Amino acid sequence: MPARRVFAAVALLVDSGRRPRRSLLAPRRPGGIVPGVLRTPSRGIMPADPAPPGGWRRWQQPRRPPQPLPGLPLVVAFLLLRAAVGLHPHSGEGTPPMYGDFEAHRHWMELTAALPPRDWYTAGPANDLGYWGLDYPPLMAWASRAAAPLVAAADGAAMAPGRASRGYESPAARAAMRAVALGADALAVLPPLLAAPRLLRGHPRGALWAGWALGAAVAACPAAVLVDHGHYQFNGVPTGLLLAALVAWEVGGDGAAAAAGARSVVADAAGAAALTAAVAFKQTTAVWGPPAAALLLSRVVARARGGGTTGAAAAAAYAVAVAGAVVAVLVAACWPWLVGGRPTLAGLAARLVPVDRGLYEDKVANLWCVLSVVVKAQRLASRRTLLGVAAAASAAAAAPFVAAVAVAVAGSAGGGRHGAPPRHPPGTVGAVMSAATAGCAAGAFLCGYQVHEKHILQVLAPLAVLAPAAPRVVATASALAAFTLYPLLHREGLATAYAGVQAVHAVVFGRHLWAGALAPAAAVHAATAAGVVSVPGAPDAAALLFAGIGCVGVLALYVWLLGGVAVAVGWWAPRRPCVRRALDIVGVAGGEDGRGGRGKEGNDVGRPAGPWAGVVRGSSSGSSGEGFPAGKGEAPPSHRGGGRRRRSPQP
Amino acid sequence: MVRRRRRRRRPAGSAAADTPPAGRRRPSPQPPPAAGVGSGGAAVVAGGARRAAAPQRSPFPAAASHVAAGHALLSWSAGVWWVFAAATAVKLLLVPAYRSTDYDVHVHWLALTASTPLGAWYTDTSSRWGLDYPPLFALASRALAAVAEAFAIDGGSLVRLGGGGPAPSSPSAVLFMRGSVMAADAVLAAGTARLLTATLPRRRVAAGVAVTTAAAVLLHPGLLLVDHIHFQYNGLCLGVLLAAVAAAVEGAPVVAAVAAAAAFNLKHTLLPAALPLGVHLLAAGLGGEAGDGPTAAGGGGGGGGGSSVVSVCARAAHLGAIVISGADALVLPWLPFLASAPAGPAAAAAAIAARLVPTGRGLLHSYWAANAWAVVTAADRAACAAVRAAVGGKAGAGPGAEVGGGRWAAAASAAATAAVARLPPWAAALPRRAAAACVAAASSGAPSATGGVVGVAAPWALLPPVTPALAAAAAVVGAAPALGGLAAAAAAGGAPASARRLPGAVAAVGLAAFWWGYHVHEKAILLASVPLAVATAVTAARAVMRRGEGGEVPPRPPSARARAECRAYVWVALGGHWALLPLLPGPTEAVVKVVAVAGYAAVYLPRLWVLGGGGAWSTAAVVAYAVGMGVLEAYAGVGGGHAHLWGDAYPFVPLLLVSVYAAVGVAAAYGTLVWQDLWGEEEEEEEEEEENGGTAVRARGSDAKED
Repeated sequence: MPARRVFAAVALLVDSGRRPRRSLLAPRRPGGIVPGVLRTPSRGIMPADPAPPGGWRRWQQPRRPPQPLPGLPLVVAFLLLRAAVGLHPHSGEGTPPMYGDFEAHRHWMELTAALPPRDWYTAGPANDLGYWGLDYPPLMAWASRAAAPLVAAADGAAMAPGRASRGYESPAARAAMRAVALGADALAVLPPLLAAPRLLRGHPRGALWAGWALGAAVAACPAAVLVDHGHYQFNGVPTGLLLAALVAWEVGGDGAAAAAGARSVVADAAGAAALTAAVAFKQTTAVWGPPAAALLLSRVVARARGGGTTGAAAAAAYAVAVAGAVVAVLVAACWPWLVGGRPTLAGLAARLVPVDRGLYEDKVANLWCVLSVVVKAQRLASRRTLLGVAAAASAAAAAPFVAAVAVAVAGSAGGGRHGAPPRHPPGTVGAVMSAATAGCAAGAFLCGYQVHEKHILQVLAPLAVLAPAAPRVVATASALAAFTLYPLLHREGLATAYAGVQAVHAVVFGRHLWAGALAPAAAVHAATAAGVVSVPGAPDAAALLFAGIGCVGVLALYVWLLGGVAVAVGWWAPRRPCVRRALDIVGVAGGEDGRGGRGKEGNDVGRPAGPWAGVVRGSSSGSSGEGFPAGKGEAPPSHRGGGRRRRSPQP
Repeated sequence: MVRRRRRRRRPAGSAAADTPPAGRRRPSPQPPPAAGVGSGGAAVVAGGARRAAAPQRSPFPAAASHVAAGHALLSWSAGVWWVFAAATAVKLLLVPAYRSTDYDVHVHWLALTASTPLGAWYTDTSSRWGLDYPPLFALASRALAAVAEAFAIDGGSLVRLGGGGPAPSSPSAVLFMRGSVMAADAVLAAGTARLLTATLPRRRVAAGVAVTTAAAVLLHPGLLLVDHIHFQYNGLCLGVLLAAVAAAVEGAPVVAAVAAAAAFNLKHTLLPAALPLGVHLLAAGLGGEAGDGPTAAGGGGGGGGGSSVVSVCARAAHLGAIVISGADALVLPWLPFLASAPAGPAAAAAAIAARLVPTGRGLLHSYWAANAWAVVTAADRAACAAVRAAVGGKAGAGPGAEVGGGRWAAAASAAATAAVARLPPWAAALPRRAAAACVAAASSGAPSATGGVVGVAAPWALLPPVTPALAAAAAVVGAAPALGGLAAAAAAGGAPASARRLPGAVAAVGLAAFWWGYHVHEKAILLASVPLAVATAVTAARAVMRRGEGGEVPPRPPSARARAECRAYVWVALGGHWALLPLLPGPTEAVVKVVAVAGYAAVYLPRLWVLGGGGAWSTAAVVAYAVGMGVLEAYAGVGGGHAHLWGDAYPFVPLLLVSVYAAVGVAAAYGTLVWQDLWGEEEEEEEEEEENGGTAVRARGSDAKED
């Protein structure tokens, strides 16, 4: 073995930087995940350069052939899919008097352009709160203010203040609104998505594969596409901010950077700022808060335990930096209301926390709604009681995830700077963080207060990060999430768009969709199409069917996330390998189907793995100093997917 | 610029011809194995020899990475159909998009064919949407109408004659019609799969290569815009044409002739493709199976080698079979119409022909296609404005004047007047006469070519008009280089050589027809663009596919002809596709159309340009062209700059600018191909093609055996 390792290390030194990492280009298997979208190799059709010097390509003979931007196909697919969905009707199209979310956003643009910020949240002669009063946090309001001139440039009548523009839906205005949503989504989501493959460099299946899996999970997520670009909302912005925060925290948690100090602090503070911005954009994303708080507090504690006065000082500086970032974002977003004094601030708060709107809206796939078939909770208790019960239940659902994040951070720190090695493999914190964020969101979705069906997107956004490790679960959950939205989409004339986007998602993920879990959903679709479920006495039977299946799915997802987190932080060590693989969110067990992993050698601690692995030790060239080449293609064949058909060029 | 590049390259090419670099070329062509028998074994042996010679780690990691150990492998068909599924899902999202009057036209044809007797289809004048596609398409409309009837789509409204009213636009009717276009695209996918399988005979290729290659054709933005938004059935017609080319490559000329005839009977604007197909089929028929070397033409009866009487008879029979079957297939769909016409077959044929080739529609379509005549017309307008300004300061006086008032015009007019005043008397008379002609043309009351109408008989004031016959002659002359190159290839390498050049030749002839044709629509660029997409996708795939059974031999650079096709396609995909954008005028589709065209260009074209090996100057030119296109799109397209600056004035100027600027790109593409055919390097290619041919034939033989 040493000989082989020495050879590998030498080969790596000789080759590094010149030779494209073969394993990164390696698609895994035929018919698997996304032969096209995921696997389009970025240097796929480059000529192979066999010409002699001075030949047909002399003027362009750099050592590496010029390449298109990485991820450019992903960007184009991202934009094309969303633009095509934008051709379909939006919520409340042509349905006075209230129209729908599209009209709400148009109204906010017009309102924020016409009124000074202080009056945005308070009722006044020019601000009828009964007609789509602004009930999103200030950052959304500022974004509306920024978008207003863009829409006005396309069609000034759409931004006419007051009643004149209510329900205004000219093609030009509609196209401009759609373009604003598309631009916001692209600007928020694409940069972190394109940055992710750099951070996924050490993934067992190759950073390129992992990056494409993550990209497909985000870009082709049917629910997100349909809600943002069909129904019309701006969920892409918080999703992108969350992705950015997760990336930043992974950089900040990097052992070498943590030792270096400043870079880690800056990264963590930036992540905290991004997440705060997400919450300041859409308050319901506050469900992402607990794991983030746990992560940052645990890192403070880890620094403090680092030893001596240096540790305490570092911890204090870190805490001040992170808290400062959070406060700075909040103050910047809320400045006009802060300086306006107590009344304006109270008005803002009252708009943002609507207690009076009930336990849930429509037929949402959560526990309260599904249990209402048996127990009508809303008749049993007052709203205030229900609010308390729902908050307590959500907190209880979030608690194990918060604890797991703390344990993961503690386990990844290791025993001092030169002490014992960390207990968890390096990708653990990122994976546990993503899973915990998704788990908290799922818990809040299942038993929260005033839940909308669209809140399922808050589960899907962090879940997408697990796509490289568990593509089957993520793809199936995404499809099922869109299924729970179907009654809403059908009502708004988006059934065709739903079919198209689900088809795109199905083609992209192909084999990775878990047919067994989707069979009930397909059966319900078939039954509604055939008109079987229209029970005369119960008009909501069909909607309840959708909600019930969705609720079971979200519950199962919650349990899976719980199990995955428990396995990742070492609370539970399942004996059976199939269970271990099924619950592997880090990627150490080779993923859910046991391929491509490298956890069987027993020395996987310290190897880059997991969704954000590779940032570890902060080196862009992987881990060349460790004696084994991770993810560089020189790894012995057993590291890369055994049991596959191979065509080896060995003589 | 091309000349410079050629001069620089020539020594390298000659050196390569003299001393083939070791390890890159196979030592000598393997003796052609007896057909079928033992060919697999021969290939394996050859592969083994090459394997031993191949370096352990090749210097071509991009290619190696695909075929190296354990990567996903797909057949061409699997890749194509996977992309087809993805493309169909995206097309499903385009269902509610804008539909042009072509939608009404095709719906009307369903009703027409379903509710009137066959004899009246081409003579019915109850609607302005008269049937003007060839008979096979009419029959296909009838079949689609039968499906609509059977499923009672939209209560049968699709097959009821509407009496000139708007076509039914209920969701189910639209979904049915859109769905029929998507389903018809299966023919395109099948044709592409067959052509790829025939051209690059591999049982399995790397998934990335298979999918990228298929996507280059099936996600073609022109087809996406024209078929799935604007509404037409080009995918069906071009798919049949590609199937014909595939059959030609497979060495089945009779099948190719029949399929080509079917394609022309589906859409007669594909007829330019008959020229290269005819050249190839003629070569195949004359060559028979008796060619020297590994020419595997077959499909007709067997025939021995040599020049015996039997062989000559066999060749004659083969050629006869090709010609007769093709002619039969061309005529067969017409027979029901000729037989059932009350006025007799000749009158019926004349009626159909009058519908198919309406001569009274003028040289230019209402929106100018980006071809020579658009450039000439624009130049004519500019010249008119100039001479009128020069002669009398009458700018803006006439009803059709193009140049408005303002300080700029006044200054230009003054300068021009001064310039004319300095001319000698005999020369000064010319602008005066020209100005008089311009004034006469402008004040004659005839519709102007810049009015956006069809049927302008004499669009030019200063030049003599172009007749349809003249335009057709120009197109044939313009296509001659491509046809000559094809014939030369056939003479040198037999039918397989010409078959491999066929997609590129079809595209070149399509470009010539587009550039010189009479009353060409901007959509006609698809006849050039789709075959070019196929040809370049094949080149790109070949450039990364390692050859040999196990993929051990590194790929070689594309031939000069293939490189020229790559560069030409870059120009077409920029200029020609961009010229399709005004087809979708509304703001709703703006983002979709721009993302489709620009996204395809951004993802695909840089690689293709590198593969095409464009020189530094032409690279700068293509980049500048693309940038200018963006600027012009901001002014004349979705950016709305023109309306912002001028309001409703000069409504035709944006279209004129788009046409003329796109014509520059189309001209560059056309010129690239013509240059290559007339003066390009051919020797290198011949050698290349021969070797590839040998490989192809062997691999096909082994495949057939394994299957």
